[in-house]
Amino acid sequence: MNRRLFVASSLGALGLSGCTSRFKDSLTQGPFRSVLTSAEKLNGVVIGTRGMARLYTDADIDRNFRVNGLDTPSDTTYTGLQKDDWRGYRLVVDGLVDHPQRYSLAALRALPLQTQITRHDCVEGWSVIGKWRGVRLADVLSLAAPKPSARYVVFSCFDQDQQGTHYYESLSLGEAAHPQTVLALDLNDAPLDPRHGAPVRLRIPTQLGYKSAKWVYRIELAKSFAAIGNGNGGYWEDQGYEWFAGI
Amino acid sequence: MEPSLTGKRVYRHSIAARLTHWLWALAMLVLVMSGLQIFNAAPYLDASDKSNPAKRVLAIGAREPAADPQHPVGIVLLFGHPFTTTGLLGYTDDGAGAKTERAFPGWATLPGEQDLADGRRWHLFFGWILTLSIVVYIVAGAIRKDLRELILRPSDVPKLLPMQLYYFRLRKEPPPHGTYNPLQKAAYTVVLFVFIPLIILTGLALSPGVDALAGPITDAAHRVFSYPHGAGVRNRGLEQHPVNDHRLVCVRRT
Repeated sequence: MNRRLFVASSLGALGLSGCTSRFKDSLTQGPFRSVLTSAEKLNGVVIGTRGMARLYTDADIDRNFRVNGLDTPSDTTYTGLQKDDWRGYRLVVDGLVDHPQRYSLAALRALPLQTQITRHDCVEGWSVIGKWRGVRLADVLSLAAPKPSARYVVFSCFDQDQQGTHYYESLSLGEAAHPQTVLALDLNDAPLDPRHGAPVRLRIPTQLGYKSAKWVYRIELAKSFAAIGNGNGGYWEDQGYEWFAGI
Repeated sequence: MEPSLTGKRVYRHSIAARLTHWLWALAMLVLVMSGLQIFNAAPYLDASDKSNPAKRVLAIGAREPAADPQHPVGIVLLFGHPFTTTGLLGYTDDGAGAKTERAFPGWATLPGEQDLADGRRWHLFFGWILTLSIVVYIVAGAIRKDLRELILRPSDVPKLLPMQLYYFRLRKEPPPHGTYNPLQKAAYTVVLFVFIPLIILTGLALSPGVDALAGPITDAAHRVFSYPHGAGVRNRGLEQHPVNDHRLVCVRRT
């Protein structure tokens, strides 16, 4: 068979025949999968979270910031806190720390606040620019004094899917300490509304949107996230998405 | 690869060139198919560095005609002009034998069924295969000195037109040249040093981590070169787009 015919017929076989889906899925699900997923480690090392996300101006802000993700929590714990104007809300910082913390919203707002106008890039491919104000996660962590054994920062969230699985996320200590990683309290000059993660959400502009967990109530310093959820470090990670979401 | 007169097989290209050639042929195929899978998650391109429906270049979706909502119609919107593409784009093969609202059909994507997470795994792995094979090709070619025969030089430029005229049979003889004629050199040079690097850079430019690392570079890539990743183009967020009083239902991730 000459080469052009070979290329054309291979393309035809790969692309057009009826049984291709099964063939393609077998490659994705078989032992080759661990080869495929190995690229994530390489991307994490090469790209990492070292750079500074680009800062935009007021003119770039999308006033109608797109709502995405799981449904706004509707359980009584959350709605009760909301009705009481978040007076009962406490953000817990615990786990492998020397000084566990419990922050009211007022206590968080008393810390130095950072404002950033950055772009939120969804893994699906769309992006929105918003103005965030919040507390640098690094400040909150240093007040809690992580123990040397702590390697990850795990975020527990109020929201859950139809099956009752709660959203969670995790960052390495390095990603958590990035100067633009903030616990956001305001979006576009107003306190976060419930659809955007009120009262506190994570905002990490150097990674894809699913890392920026909404409705956070607990920050736990941990040695590993293997025992949480399905052990992949996050709600979407447990469904096959990369833990390193810088690309 | 024709047999020589002695019957011995003659390889005109080095083993590195032949290996990387097939590797990046495979990588391109996988990258296109997984790229279409990723595109399906938000099937629109905006000529902007964020989602911006006012600058929409391309959108692929389906609409349900008011008179016959049971039979959705596939629509491609190119600069706002609708084209009916039912069966091929917008309303097409779901990768499991049925039809569904979906931008690119299952037979053209990797994986076949709509699966953004796995599509990304393929894409981000074979991005490395493409990158590494181009690096190996160039380095091996430079070491073996094959590369210098491929690169277009200023002295080749005046020979481009005569070579083309020869191909058009408007000239009897090709202009004098080495192993490769000037048009072949031009093609190699543009693909090796312009197209493939752009394919890699424009892809990286869409990554928030790379954007943070190299904002000025990716910014230029966004704005100036937009070729394979759709006009430096960011996708957008609306679920609905009015087309002739019908509803365009964009494809959503499952």
